[in-house]
Amino acid sequence: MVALGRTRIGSRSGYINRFIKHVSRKIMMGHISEQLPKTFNVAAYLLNGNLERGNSQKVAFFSRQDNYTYEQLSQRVQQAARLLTSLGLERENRLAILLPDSPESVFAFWGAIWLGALPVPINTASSIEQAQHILRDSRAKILLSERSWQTKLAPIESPFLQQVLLTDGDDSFLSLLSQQPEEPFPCAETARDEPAFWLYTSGSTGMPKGVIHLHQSMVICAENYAKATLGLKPDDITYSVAKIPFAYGLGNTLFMPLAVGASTVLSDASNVFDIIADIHHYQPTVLFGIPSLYANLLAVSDIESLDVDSLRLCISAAEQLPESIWHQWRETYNREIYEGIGTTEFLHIFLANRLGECKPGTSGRPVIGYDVQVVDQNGQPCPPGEIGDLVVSGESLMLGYWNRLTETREVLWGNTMHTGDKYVQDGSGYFKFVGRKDDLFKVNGQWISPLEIEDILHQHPQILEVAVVPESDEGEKLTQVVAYVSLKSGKEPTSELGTEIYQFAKQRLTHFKAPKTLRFVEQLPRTATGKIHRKSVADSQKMALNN
Amino acid sequence: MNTSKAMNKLKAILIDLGIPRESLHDDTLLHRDLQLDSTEIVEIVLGLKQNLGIKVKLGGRKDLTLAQVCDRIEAEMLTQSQSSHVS
Repeated sequence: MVALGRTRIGSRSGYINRFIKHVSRKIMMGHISEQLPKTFNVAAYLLNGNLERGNSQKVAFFSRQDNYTYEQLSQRVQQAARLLTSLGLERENRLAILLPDSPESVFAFWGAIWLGALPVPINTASSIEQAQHILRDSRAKILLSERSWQTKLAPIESPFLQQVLLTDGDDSFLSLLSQQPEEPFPCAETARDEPAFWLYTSGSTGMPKGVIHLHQSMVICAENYAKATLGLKPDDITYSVAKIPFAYGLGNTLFMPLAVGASTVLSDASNVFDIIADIHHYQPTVLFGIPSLYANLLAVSDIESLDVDSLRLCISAAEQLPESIWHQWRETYNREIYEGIGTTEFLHIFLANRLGECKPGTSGRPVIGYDVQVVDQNGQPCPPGEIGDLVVSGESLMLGYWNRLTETREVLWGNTMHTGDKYVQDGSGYFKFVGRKDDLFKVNGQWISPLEIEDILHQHPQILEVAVVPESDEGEKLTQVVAYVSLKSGKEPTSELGTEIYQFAKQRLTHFKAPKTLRFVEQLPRTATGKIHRKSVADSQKMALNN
Repeated sequence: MNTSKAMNKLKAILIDLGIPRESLHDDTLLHRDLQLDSTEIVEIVLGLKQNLGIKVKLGGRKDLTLAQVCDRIEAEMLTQSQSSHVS
């Protein structure tokens, strides 16, 4: 294997190396983007930076297949860039990556950015319909996936797709990479504020929309959150339950460890027992979890106990962490959980509980570099204790949603985003989530649109009206999907019918979207214009019970 | 078809999770066929502990059929019964 030292990285990318030390010295609080060179390729910046810092032989990531050093990672990324170029992928073209977290997904992601193309990771838990939508919507020219997905998607309904690469079978992606020359491949001289990658996030209609992020975005999040907030350091090993196609997972696994020269674990585990085995095997120091992970680990603690000795940080994001779980975790494992919240549009976390300053039940305080405010309907800051809309400003804000001008203009106001979350700030400056402005909510860290579930339930022959709402016992428990249902005339609410409706939903919806609880009601509350008023459904039922 | 106590209990737990009885066969796979998520796997494990008093770990990357889950349940029941005899 050819060593990729400083002098061998190719003259066209030499400018990157000259800037690495300069940028590293200059990046402080404030306008990080302005301190980056105008010509800036984030893949080259992060990878070459590690070689510059002497991390060539250090493990960049561990995986079940193989472990890769920074030198090997850098070489594979350049081979991927060369291979994808030879297959016709050009600057600004999209590369769809429909894979579990794996060495191949990492090589392809950075390889695409290296050549100036745009990787589009797709969640492997997507439905076939969603995956087809993303392939069409993104106009991906090449798809990298597995044979099982190729079979499920056949025929792929995108006129833009020219080639499918597979990680298994003959001519696997890794074997194609190994056939590429080992010589350095020059990186594209992209701009710091040029699109670098897309992430898809669920929309209110259920169909995901593409969030466009820039080359500078990853550096900004790494500086603000990984370094300044978490104090992530070179001897850390990160382990993320959220996968790379999610903004939270992308940061935890792909760019934050790289930004500090740490190591990460690439794992396809989703089962709690496999996650425990991974933690015992790889001994990570930082666990990036979601609330349901902590709840599940606690639930099985007397069946399979987790050895937390290696963990110096337990992080939670993606949805609200019930305070009861925070306390149980500390009592069981003597560790605090540092909760934070971010959005795909900001790429990572902008509100966080800091080490030694944890306030359970809150999303914490603003991460350095972000201006976070709770405002009233006139856009004026709310006093402490008053509920308002959460608006956030920061440099890692997306360029916009792909091909969704109306939605983009609805949420972006200059450098500020209206998140749609309702928050309250306490006297100490901590922010607490109290709900959503729209009807969306999160389960398992993923957005749920009540409309999608209601549309399915409406197809049941005995249902007249339905309203789907989240319930969490005022934040004390994990959020669950609850359906309030009224029946057509002459139909009686029986437990058998309840089971039948439950199974009807389960068979037609992605697993976590199926309602966990079904409640029969005489009628549902309506707004003045006759629409079902979801927000008052649960309240009206509570009132009926109390009376 | 497996009609053991373990299989009956496993099916009862899965039906409680909203899965139709007619979808449950010996060769039904937990992930591919039933699309169970990590929280539902935990619910199965807790249900087995509550109903049969056994601690079964349903880990492993390989998708499991109901028959294979039953094998694990029965092995655990046997282990537990032997350990209680020894003590």
